[in-house]
Amino acid sequence: MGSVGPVALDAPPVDPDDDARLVARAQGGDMRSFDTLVTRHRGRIFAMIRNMIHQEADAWDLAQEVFIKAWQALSNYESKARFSTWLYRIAHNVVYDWTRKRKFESAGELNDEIFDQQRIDPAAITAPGAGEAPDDAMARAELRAKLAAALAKLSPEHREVVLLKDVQGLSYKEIAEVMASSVGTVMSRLFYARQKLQTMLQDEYQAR
Amino acid sequence: MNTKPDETTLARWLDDDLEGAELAAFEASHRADATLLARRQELRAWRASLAAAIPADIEPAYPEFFNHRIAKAIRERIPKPHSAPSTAAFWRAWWMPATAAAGMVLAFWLGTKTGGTPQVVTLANPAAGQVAVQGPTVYTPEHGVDAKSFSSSDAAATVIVLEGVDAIPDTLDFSESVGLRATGKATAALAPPDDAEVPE
Repeated sequence: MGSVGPVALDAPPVDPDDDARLVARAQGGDMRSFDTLVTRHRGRIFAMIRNMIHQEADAWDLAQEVFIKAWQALSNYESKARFSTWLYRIAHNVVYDWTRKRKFESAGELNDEIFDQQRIDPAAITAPGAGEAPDDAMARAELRAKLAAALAKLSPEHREVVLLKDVQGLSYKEIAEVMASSVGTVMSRLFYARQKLQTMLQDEYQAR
Repeated sequence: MNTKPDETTLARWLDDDLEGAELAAFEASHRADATLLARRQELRAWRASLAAAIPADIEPAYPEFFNHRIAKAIRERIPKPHSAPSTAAFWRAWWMPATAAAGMVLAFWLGTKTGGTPQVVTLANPAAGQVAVQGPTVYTPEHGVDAKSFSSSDAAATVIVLEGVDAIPDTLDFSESVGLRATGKATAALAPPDDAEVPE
């Protein structure tokens, strides 16, 4: 599969009420409403998965798997949680199933593609923003690359909690639902994950 | 009065996780705490730098194809509805076994009616002799003669009834063709045995 490269979106926030209406129609079998839901959420789900596994093509496939599983389980969805949180939960399971499968398939071999801790996210945005000075753009791109590299060195659980909280903006309670853990565990993981990241980026922060 | 917040509430406030009444209650007590405000500001800057570096929303490549593949996979996985059976199929389903069973019963009944009947071979019906038969076979050399054989194991006798035979003239001497054996069984022979006793 070819790639047009990552495109960060400044998409407007998704209205949960609109989601609820679309979900209700999709639960009645309306594929068009479900297609709209896919369009509304595919960017965040794809970004979350790609930031977790650092593989563009696999992330593309896995993100689709998330929505297919969501359709299959749509009758079980209750509006107690936001639809987006429910999708993150499915994405969590899909990614961990994929990881376990890959580890099983490559048992006994050193597979540095799975949660590669030294790998720099090749999709880190390097395009300068409009009006940005060349020096600033370069420094910004360098910071992005270092942040992505540091994030890749974290354990999957630590990386996921940072991505969900600091990148996706979920609440502690929502993260606990996604990761099937307690709020206390989420807070603990987030504390240590940030601490590790800041240690790895200490030079960068001291220079700023 | 102890105004020190618990760890969980403090962490949630620093991460902007408190809302509504919880947020109001916390800020009523700690709004002027410069240290806490500085820590919260530091965390906000951290989240902003991460969010700027790591995209939260990335349009997947070929987005229309992305949606199309999902829709296709869903259509393929939806079980197809079962069509209602047609009337013809309904009758076919019932009549075929019923017809087969009736055929079997009829064949059995015919078998019971024909299985034990002795076969008689005449010149008029020579083909009957080719059929495997049970019981004695009676040969009648004359056309138009029908023979039936009846056996009785209790009486130790076999009776042959001939129909269509011309009347036997009184002048016919049976002694030339009938002999009595010591066993008492009546037999018919073309010629008397040599040791036969001829009644007077």
